[in-house]
Amino acid sequence: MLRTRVLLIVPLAAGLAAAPARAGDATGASAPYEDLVEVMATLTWHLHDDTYRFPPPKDPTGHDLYKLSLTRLESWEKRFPGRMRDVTTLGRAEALEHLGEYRPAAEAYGQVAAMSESPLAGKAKDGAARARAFADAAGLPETGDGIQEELGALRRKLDAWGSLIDKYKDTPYESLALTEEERLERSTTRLVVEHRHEIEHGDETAEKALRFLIQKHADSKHLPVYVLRLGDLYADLAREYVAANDRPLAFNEDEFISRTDRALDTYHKVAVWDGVKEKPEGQARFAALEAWKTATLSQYR
Amino acid sequence: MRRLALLRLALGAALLLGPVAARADDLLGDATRADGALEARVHAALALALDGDPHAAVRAMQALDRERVAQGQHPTGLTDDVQLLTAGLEPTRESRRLALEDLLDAHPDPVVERIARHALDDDDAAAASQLLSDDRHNRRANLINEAVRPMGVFSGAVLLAALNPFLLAGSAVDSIATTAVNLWNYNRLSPREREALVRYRTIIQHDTRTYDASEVVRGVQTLSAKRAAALCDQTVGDAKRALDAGNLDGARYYVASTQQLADCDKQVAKTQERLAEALAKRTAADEASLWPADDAIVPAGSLEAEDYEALARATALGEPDAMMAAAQRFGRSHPGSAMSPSAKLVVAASRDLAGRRPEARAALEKLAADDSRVGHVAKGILEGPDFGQLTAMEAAERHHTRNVAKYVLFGGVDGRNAIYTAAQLGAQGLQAAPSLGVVNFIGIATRAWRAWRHDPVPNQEVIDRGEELLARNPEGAEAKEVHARLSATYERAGNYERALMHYRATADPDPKRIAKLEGKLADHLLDDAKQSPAAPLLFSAIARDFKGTDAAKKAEKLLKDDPPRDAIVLDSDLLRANPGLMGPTALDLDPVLLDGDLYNGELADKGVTLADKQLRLTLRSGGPSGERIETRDLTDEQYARARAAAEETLYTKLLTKQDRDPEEGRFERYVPIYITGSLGDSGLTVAPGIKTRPYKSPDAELYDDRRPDEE
Repeated sequence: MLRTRVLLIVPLAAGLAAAPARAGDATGASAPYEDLVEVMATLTWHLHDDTYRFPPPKDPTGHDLYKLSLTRLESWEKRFPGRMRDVTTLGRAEALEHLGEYRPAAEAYGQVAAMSESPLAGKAKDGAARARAFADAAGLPETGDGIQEELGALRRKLDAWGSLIDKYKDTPYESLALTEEERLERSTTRLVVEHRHEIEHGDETAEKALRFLIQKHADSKHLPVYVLRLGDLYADLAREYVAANDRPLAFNEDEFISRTDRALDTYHKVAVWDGVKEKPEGQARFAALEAWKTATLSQYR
Repeated sequence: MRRLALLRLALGAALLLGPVAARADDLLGDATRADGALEARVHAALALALDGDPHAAVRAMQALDRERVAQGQHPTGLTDDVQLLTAGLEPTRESRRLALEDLLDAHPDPVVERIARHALDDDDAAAASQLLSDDRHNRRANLINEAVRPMGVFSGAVLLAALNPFLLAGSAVDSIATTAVNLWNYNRLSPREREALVRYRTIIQHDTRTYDASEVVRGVQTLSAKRAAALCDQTVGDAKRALDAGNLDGARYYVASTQQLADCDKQVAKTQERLAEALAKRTAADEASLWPADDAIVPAGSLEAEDYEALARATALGEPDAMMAAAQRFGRSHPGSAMSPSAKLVVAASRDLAGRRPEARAALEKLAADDSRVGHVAKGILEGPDFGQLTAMEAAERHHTRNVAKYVLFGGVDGRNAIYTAAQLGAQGLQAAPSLGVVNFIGIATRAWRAWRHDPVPNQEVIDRGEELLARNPEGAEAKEVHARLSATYERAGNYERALMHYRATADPDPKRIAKLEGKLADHLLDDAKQSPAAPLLFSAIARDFKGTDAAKKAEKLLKDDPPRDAIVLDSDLLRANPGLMGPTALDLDPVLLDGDLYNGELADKGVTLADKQLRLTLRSGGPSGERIETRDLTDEQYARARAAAEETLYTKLLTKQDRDPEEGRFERYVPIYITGSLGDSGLTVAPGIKTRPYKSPDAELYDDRRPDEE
């Protein structure tokens, strides 16, 4: 009886006393590689992410994964200089490419491609060609002496990115090119909105430009921002109306209400848009404009 | 002779140690060769993984582990890391989840485990299901908890409840009423459901080829319908609130907005009618203000008419002296005239134009008692923005005082309290008074303490009135008094900066009071600074700008104790837990510093600090402080290597930190019940409850549409 009890207790006690050993803990000579493989694992996991439609990936602590991977790879290179250089350089190149730093990425890819004994040289060669093409497009000028020159420069750059979008269609790199194209179209639209007083039919052109941005990039993660910018334009038009008609007899209440309500409607879309980080901004802009509308109406009533 | 002896000794030692050194060389060479071979195998596996064949990489690492085990060595411990990489490259969501679950079953290292769990938890479908499950649990738990809680208010009479069932009936009525309210709101769209809907939609955007597609589509349909209804409720609610506040234009906007929402017509119908009625009334009032309803009063005789014309001319010219003279002449000459009130109004206007507002106010107040049309005008002026602000501010202050008193005496006056109290009184009559008295006494004392510590009632109304008055007339006769009142109000509200600003603008500011307010402001700023990423900058600003206050002294001390901004501090516990940090690829420190032996040097709890290309060691010593500092200069290369290793270790520590809820009980997963006791507004409460699951989304505010006044 006592023997049976001992037989039962011993395995139970052993099970409680020692937690199962983790098979994954690297020790001794393999320890240095553990950090490297972990960084490469999390980075490689997210290399195919669609960063045009969705926000860039974050690690469990909330850091931008591409930036974090780049820093950790650089740290590893400092601690273990010369070791696994093709792996770390390729990882850095991939992280840099996803951060939009195409020229340094091309250089890093090029370094790995030049390591003829590395099995990663072939992959790096493709990466180098792609990153160079992206870097060439990214290097084109975006500014000019006047608004027309600036718009012309942006158009040429957009054409360059357009051809890259076609070339890398349905590959993981299409989203990188789309992100660049979107950024340029955003700049173009901002330019038009900022200079609308200098352009013929500037208000209509600015509205059309913003609506074009919203329609073309309806899948983009930045869509709520564009809706807010359209709301800003409408709000500015309402304020300009008040400034131009500030004498009591010139002020037309219905006209003012229709202008402010158009802006309020636009802000409201973002204010009730669950899950987007622009929602609090939309709510605040809506509340501010609504307060201004009420104050303005009471002033003229 | 001595030299010869030394030579012999050296030769002897060389003969003895020679073979040992050769063996050490062999061992070192073996180890180096083994390291090189290991690196080659790991490199080959990584190259396979990165070049598109991750499964082959896993197989290669597993083979290496088997070989090492066969040779009596430990496995590499890297297979789990390569498996993590492979899982990330799986083509579908399901295969990725399966790979991650397999990986977790194999007891990976803590970092891999954390990353794998994060990836599994972050999966939108799984997260949405969990959110909905937690939501259902919380709805049920809240319903039960709220029903049980009214039974838990402690009083002497509760012990006699069995003898007096009427008392229990009071709690039962409260419980039923609360449950009815909760059932009414049971299906309200919650932030969790909003997040689940967003996550379901994200899956659809990401990848529709998931086995959970039908569940996702069903979820989207159900939650979208619920959200549309909630949006309609919200918009109608906004319209009602605007209407109640007299903001007809705002209400009109919200009512018009509901036209764009599906199936919202019925819900908005009543509000729409109310709005139409209110707009019609406003239009009628606007019309009425343009056309006087009363018949025009005409002077009785020609002399009166002449004097009245003179009065009208003087008023039109707007000269205070002439106005006053004409009004007084009219008053003296025609004391019983029907136009007398008009003349008195001119008196008030001339006084105000002459900058004598108190006298103008007195004249208007006298005139406001008159039942004539001019009397009504005077009343309107007194309530208007020019004269009414101080009165409105005084009214707001009285209202605030009343609300504080109400809070202290009766607590947060809500339906539950009222029902509970009424039911007890109804059930027991005067007999209930002593037991209620006990509860109330405890409650009053608690609430009075709270009210003393922190104003429980908003001060915004008083602030708005006062600020508006000062904005209209910053140099007016009442300005000093308003500054004093605003200073007290802002102090009550905890806004010491504004309190100080207004106090300085009062008639005779007391330096002691200024110092007290400065102290409070500095304390407040110090608390904020401690949470700020720019804390050192703020500490030095507090130490400089609030010299002499306690907060300034504390800020100075914090600045002194604070390491440089870019410093990395590695305490001795961290170094003990990560011995690799002491090695040559990191800090390159002698391990004896952590062996517990004080005679060969021992790191103190503060450990080491890396900053400004130096390694600062805090060592234990026998001095009065028990510590001494030793600083070592590092080369660029050493410093970069040490920082890289330290940052990596700190990151790993952050990543593997246990994020278990400290409030979560040990057996809560199995028995999610608690018994709570609290000394709150309604006295002493002891009640059991089902533990709810907290909503921990980092983006919770992005799923909440409630406004502060709705909470």
